Amino acid sequence: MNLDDKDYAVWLEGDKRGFEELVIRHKDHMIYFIQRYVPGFADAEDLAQDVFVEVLLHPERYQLGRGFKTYLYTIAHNKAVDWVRRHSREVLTEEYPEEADSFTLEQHVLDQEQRTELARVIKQLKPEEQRLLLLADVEELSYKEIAEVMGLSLPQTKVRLHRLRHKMRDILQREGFNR
Amino acid sequence: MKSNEEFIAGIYRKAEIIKQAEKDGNVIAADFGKKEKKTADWRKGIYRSTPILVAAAALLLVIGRGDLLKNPNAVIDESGVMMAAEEMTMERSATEMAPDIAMDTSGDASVMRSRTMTYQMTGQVISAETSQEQAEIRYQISDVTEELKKYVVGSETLVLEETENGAVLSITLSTTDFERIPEDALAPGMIHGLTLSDGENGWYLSGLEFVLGEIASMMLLGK
Repeated sequence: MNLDDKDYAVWLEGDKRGFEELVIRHKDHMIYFIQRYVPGFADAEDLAQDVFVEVLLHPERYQLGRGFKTYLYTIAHNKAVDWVRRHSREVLTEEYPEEADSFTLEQHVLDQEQRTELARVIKQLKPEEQRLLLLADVEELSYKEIAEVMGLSLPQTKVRLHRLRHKMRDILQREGFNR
Repeated sequence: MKSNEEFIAGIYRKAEIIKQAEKDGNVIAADFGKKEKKTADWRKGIYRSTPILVAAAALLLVIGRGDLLKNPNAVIDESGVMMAAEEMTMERSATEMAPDIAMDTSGDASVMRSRTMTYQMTGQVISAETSQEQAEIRYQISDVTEELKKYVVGSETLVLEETENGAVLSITLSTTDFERIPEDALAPGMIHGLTLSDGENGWYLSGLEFVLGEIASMMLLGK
């Protein structure tokens, strides 16, 4: 049983520390991921909170062994999509400056190597590509898990990630990195 | 940026608000504090799509296709699988428009510009199945042009199968895509149009309101 499932089991047995451990472990990554849909940091943080509210209110929906991270990111994807739909006009018209909180979060989420390469590349990708990249390279989900989170078929996921790798390679070469 | 303690306290607080609201017989919309009356007896998954389905149904009435809402052949079974056998005509001049705006049905919220092509097709809906995540609509189409084959074959959301009785066009869409259809995509001019677009990341389909209208009609009849 992995750490997430252990904490989940602790929570199911009535110890809320299990739930809180899960929140602490995943919250920063969750906010960072949601920022690929929702431009404002405060909104992304708020939505990440809603993701955990969903978990808290429906403990029976997750089955141990099915991949807690996949479950969590699927909720996040759905909530972020709903948010974008409801706020599409505002998102198109408002400007969101780079926020200090976003920078701090990036330091938490990405390791040293990722900060030099991935952070440089990620801003040059489309939002959907950013999400795929985070799920694949930072969260290290499998193709199957990514497909589940993003609501894509497995072939679609593979094709998009393949194209994304090519695009990243081109960007890195252009930036003077050799891989 | 909230501390861990503040973040967790916020989760518990929000959960309490929702629990209380459910106790009172209301559901809380994702924007906290905004309450919506819970509609009884809506099937799971349909509730979230209600506004767009109602809009689509209304649109069918506006454009004079209210007959679709009375389709006696549309049924919905207990498992939520919908079936329909309704003669359909998709009319749109077979013109090429470039550039045009196409909607990305792949899950990306952005609206992209790309070369689009429209096709005139006549067909019959032979089945439509939905789950909470996906809807698959299958059309029996009679006038498959070579050009259409070229654009449909190879797509993952649009699949053209040659069968003994003609060709079947399957359209698979995710529920989240349905919900992202912008209001202006429901313009009457597009109602019968099926637009296939060659986008950078694959194939895109617009004119989805046609599909939505069909689903709305089936759902309304399926009650």
